[in-house]
Amino acid sequence: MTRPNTILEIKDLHVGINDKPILQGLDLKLEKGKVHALMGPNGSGKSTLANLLARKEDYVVTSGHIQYLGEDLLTLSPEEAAWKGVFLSFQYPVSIPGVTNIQFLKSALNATLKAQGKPVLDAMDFLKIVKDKMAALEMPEALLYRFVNDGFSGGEKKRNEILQMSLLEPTLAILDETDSGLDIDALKAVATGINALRNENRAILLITHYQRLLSYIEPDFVHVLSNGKIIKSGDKSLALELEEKGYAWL
Amino acid sequence: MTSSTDLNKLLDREYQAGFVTDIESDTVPPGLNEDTIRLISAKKKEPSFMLEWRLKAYAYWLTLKEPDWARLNIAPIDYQKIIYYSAPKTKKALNSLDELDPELLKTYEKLGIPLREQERLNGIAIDAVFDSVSVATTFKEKLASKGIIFCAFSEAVREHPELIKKYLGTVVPYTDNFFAALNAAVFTDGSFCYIPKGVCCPMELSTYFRINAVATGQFERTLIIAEEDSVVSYLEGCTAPMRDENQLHAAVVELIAHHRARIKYSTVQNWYPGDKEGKGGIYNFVTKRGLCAGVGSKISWTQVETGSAITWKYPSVILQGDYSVGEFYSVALTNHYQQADTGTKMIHIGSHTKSTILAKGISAGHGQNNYRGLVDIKRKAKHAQNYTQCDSLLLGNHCGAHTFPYIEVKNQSAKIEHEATTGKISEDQLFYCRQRGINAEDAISMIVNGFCKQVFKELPMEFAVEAQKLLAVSLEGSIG
Amino acid sequence: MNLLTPNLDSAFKKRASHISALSPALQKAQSDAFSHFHTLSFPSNKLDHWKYTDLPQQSLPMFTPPIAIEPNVPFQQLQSLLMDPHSLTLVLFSNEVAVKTPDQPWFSANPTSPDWKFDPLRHSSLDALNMAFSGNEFHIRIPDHSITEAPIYIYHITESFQDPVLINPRHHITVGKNAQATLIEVYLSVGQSPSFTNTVTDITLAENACLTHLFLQKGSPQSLQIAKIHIDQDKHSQYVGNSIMLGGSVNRAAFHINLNESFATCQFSALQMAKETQRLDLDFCVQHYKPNCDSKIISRSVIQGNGKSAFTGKIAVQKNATKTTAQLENKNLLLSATAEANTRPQLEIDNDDVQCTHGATVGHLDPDALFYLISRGIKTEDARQLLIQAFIYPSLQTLPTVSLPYLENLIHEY
Repeated sequence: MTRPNTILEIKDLHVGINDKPILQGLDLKLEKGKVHALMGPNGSGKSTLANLLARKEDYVVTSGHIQYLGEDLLTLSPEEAAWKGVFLSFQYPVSIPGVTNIQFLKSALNATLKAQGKPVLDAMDFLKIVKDKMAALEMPEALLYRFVNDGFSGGEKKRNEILQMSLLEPTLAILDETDSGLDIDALKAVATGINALRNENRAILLITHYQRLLSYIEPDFVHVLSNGKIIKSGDKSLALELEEKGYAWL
Repeated sequence: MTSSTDLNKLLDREYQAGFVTDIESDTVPPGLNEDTIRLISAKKKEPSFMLEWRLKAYAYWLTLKEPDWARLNIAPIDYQKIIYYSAPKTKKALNSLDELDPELLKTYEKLGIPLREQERLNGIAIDAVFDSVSVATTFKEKLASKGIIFCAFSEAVREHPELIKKYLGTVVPYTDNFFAALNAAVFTDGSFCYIPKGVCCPMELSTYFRINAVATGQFERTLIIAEEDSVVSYLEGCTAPMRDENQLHAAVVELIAHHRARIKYSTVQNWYPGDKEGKGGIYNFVTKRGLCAGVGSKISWTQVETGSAITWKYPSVILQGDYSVGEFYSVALTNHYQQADTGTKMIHIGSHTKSTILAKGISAGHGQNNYRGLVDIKRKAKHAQNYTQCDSLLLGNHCGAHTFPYIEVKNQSAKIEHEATTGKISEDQLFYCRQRGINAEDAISMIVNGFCKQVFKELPMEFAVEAQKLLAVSLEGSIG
Repeated sequence: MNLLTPNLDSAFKKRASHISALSPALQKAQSDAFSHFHTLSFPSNKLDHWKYTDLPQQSLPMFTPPIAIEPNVPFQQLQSLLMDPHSLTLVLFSNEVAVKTPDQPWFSANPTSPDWKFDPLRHSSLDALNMAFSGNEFHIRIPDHSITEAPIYIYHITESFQDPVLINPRHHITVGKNAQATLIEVYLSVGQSPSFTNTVTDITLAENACLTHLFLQKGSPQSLQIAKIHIDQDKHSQYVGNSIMLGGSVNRAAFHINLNESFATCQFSALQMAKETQRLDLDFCVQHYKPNCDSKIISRSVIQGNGKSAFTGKIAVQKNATKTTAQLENKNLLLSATAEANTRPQLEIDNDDVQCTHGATVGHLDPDALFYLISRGIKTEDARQLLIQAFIYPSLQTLPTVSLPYLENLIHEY
């Protein structure tokens, strides 16, 4: 199914929390098939943007627009946004003791399929699909029967996020500091998983602090967020410049 | 954050079992005195020892004062306004379900209690108690072939008086407490179960209670005896119709496990909780106690409570035999204006005894949940071990959760660990689920189920499914 | 139920006429208090909060306030009991001032205030008894914005005389806005005859006040040391409290802390060391009334001989107290076959936006750990000491540093 070219368009977005302004006039456009990296110093508003796009309700949008697939994103609840193909890989995935991973993944996938008017999967079909995807991410099957993220290492948590992305097949994938807390091997496995999910119908927004991840996932565009605005955009070489010169350079 | 209206919508489930059966009852006028007791005993055709015991208990009850209800808010109970006996009129003893009053059968079907075909498929033997009278017991022959006795308590009094005489009141004597004394005087029926030596009961034994007639108190008495090396799993489920005035339920359950015997007693209780304003509903005061008399014996109490206006019960285990084990697994949900005061007592007497307590409380609406537990290690109880975990989940800001454990240790070789936590479902967990497409209602249900998982795992399969459904229904809309 | 206390009754009557002349209002308040005491009688095991205290019911009615106070023990002999003989010090003998470091504006002794009304939710019969017989109240006032560098020491020494003596110390401690102070209170009972110290203390912390407090009880074989400490905290105030019980016939302290305004914090550590036939009872309660308050309680009990410890620790969070964090931990070590531990951590939570936990354990010295130490050449007795010290270590973390050497000695004696 072909999608419109523009997946996400943000215009002059102003967002605050608890009367404190965070995003102060953000513009961003993501087109299908492209990977955009969003970099910036701590406190610049990167996670705010990520969580806002996933429809976390703590923020106040004082002005600006966000169009997702031609629709006003801000009218959607978190689950509605999810059903329409928005996916956020969390920087710190929360654990849910008592709920097994397999139970969680199946509920999420079936809820989404149902909302999209597609047939839901039974236990057997689901198990087959998830096992294949886990193998591709080098995730041991035992993780299915553990409680969601409970006692998972950093690498296991991030892989679990990418596993979910792989299952839910989003249109817009926002990956919030996916590389934080990972050693080289985990980083490589996660990056491989993400690269395998690049396709011409999907837009990926890669939020990262360091250039390191971008050596493994080559972005089409790099943007720098500072003081709530995008102050510079460029291609992947911008990331390398930043690495050399630091954010203060801008 | 989801608005509280969504939450409230979800919390307002309609009580499913709130219908009344239209049936002729054989009722004794309200009020309690010696004559009422003699009447009950006569109607049940009891041998004289039973009447004597009842009268002694009644005399003792008259000397007692109603207990002080710490933290419970209850209107006084008028014991003279209660009807102590109400039996559906059946003409003769039943030999098969076909002879059962069709109205009664319909009642049980409406409640989803399979007295007919279904139970044959599930293989559960059922004894149905309707307003104080055991109505039918299925599977008698199959059990009888193994020497297992599973019948109405009143039948046991008539047919097996020697067993009744030997064990009745040995675990909960009528002097135990106010409601135990009342129950001993006016109990009308309940279940009796005897598993002989070395027998593993081939099916789960089940009883359903229902309080139907207006102003009836329901006073059941259950006695389960497991001889050496025997095993039995018993399920107790309860429902009641919607009524304006409160109804009283004061039961006594006694369990005795001999050497290496194992008794598992599970309850899924769904009494009418009172309407949203807290009017009506059941007062549920129960004394349940198990005696691990034999070496290596084990008694497990598992319960899921989602109803009743006021609950007051402490299933206990007396760990008398060396190496005996007591377990208590509980999920208690209070919603609307329900109040629960529940918990357990583990009394360690023998050596190398072990107890495990896992209590999960969920408070929603204006519900108040109290856990009161006692772990008592007696002086001679060597190498006793206890592990207790009490967790409370608060859904919304108008409910309360209170934990009052008592740990009393008189032997230095004991090893006791107790932990408790209270909190709410985290916003982060909720958002995580919703971002993955699971809507708020389902997310809460899933997280609450996860919260209760350790307890549900202990329930027999059929009950586990019922319990999960019950919880899901009760919780729709409970976001804080 | 009316109590037979002929000694107390006659002592009360004797004082009454004297007090009445000075202040009729006080006399009336004390009469009321005494009649409340009579109605309730001494607390017994039937009261839930006194369930494990084991007050010697038979001998209680024999206690009576001393007639004349003449310290029998010369002050010089007490030097060894004092932590720092050169510091800001107040020494009270049977509740009469014996020694006071000069130039102390922070301390005053005033006649007992008649402003007292019995409150069944707050007062026990011993509060009433204290009020009935209290002659003087001692006030310690730390002015606003003052920072007292040196700790303030108060030694309460109760001596025993031939007749069983009852002392009723009554204190008010106020720490002003933005003020800081360290207060070390040592309750010592000396002598071989029975004595009963029945203390009632009120502490108020104003906005942003900070008080580090050590409440140490060390008695004699026949002493009863009972204390009730009530603390009210204003916003942003900090109370760092320590309760140490080192035995006597009965040591009991009931701490009731009210976090009345937001951002108040309470950190409380407790240590009980019981032996012989000692009864040590800590009854702790912290009430969270407003949002954003934190409380943390750590407690350890070590019991040997025929000793018995009791711990009741309640965290109560009221409806409006959102964003509350509260933790409580109580651990008990039984060192003999006849030792007994009773513990009741409690939670009463009426607000959902909280994180509250509690935990309690009861056990014995880990034989594996003991063996490990011994196998490395450490003598058995020393190994035991090491493990016991390691066990009590967490409860000593909030003590005023100056008190540590003194306490080390006392604990070592145990």
